[in-house]
Amino acid sequence: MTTYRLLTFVADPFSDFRIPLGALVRTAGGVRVVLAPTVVELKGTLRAAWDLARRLVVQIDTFDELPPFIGPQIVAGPVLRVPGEVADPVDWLARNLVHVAA
Amino acid sequence: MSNSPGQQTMPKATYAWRKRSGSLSRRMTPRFRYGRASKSRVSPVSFGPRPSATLARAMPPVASEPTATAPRRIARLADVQDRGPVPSPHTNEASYAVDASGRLWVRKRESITGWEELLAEALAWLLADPLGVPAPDAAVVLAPGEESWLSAFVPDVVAHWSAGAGPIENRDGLAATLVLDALLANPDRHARNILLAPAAGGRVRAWAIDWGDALAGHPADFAAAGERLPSVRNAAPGLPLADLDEHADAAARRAAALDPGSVASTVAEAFAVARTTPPAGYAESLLHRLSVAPRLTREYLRLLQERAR
Repeated sequence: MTTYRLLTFVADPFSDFRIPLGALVRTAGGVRVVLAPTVVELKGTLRAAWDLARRLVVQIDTFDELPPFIGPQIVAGPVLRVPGEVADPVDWLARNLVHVAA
Repeated sequence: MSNSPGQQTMPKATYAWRKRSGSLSRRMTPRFRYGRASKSRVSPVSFGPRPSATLARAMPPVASEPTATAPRRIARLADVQDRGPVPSPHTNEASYAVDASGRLWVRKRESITGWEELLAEALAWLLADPLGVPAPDAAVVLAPGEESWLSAFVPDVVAHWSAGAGPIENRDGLAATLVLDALLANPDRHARNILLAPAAGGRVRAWAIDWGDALAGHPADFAAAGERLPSVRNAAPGLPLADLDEHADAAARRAAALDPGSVASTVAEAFAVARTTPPAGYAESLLHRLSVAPRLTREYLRLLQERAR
C-alpha cells in the first residue's frame, strides 16, 4: 500500500489561506517528494517565500514527521492512501496533485 | 551596513561618548546603527496581491527601530485574540493572536510558560537591539489571567535553520544572536529557533526567537552564574561558525560598551514585565557578563565549533 501526505504552504495562518505545495509519497523505495504546480499568481515577498518553500520541501526525506528545517508555514496533512488501481503513485500525484488537494 | 553621514564623519569614541551622554541628537543618530531594522522591515508593497484582508494587517514593521539613546520599553497591550495554535511538533506553547489594531502576533501565555520565560524573553528582547540581534518586535499582555509574551508575526518565514536553505544575508545578526545566547546563558538555539525568510538573490534572512529557557529567567541562578556558558548540546547543526567570528566579536564589543545605567534600566524594565524584583547580584552578574562579552563569546563559539566536529 502506498501512502502520501499533502504538503500545503500556509500563506496566511490568520485566515488559513493555503496553497497546495506538493506531497510526500511513501513508497517501497523510500520517501519521494512531488511538487505541485503554482496555481495562483504570487508576487513579491510571498513569491519569494513560495520559492524558498519549494526549494526546501524537495530536501524532505522523512514521512511521519517533517524535518526541523521546515517552518510552521509548511504543513503536512493526514496520511492518505493512493488508490489501489494506480500503478505509478508518484506520476499519479504529479498529474493530479492540485485536484487531489482541492 | 551603510553608515549615516553623521556616523561617518564622527570619530567612534566621540560618537560613543555623545551617545552615552545624550548629546547626540535624534537627527544625528543613525536610525539603523545596528544594521537591523532597515532590512527587516516588511514593506506593504513587497507582498504583491493580497491573498486576504488579514494578511495585510501583518504589514506594520516586524522590528522596531533601535533607540540608540535610551533603553527600549516593551509595549503593553490590553488584550489580544487567539487565532489558533502555531503548528510545531513537541510543543503547544505558542498560538497566533491578533491585537485590537489588527497587528499579528505569536503568543506565549505565562500560564503555560511561567513568569521565568517572560523575564528571559523580555531581557533578551531589550538587549537584542543594541547588539544587533534580528529579533521580531515584541509586546506583552499583562491583564490578569491573560499574561503573555507576544512576538511579532513574521509573514514570510517558511523555514527553520538549515544549512541548505541558502547563503545567509545577515550573518552579523546571526552572530549577534549567539553572543546574546552566551550572555544570557540560553541553551535553546536549536534549528527551530532560527527562522529563515527569503532575501534577495536566493539568500535567506535569519530571525532569532525564543530566549525563554535562558538562565537569565531564573534570577537567583543567574545572579550566581558567574561566567557560566550555556550548554551547546541542542545547538542548531551546520551554523557557519567560521564566518561568524568577526561579526560575533563586533557584537560582543558592543555589549561590553553598553552603559551601566542603561543596563540597569533594561533590567528594571524586564523585571517590571515579569512583575517581580531582581535579587541582589542580578544586575551585577549581567553587567559582569557584558563586560567580558568578547571573552565569553570566543569561548562559546569554541564550544560550538567543538560540538560541530
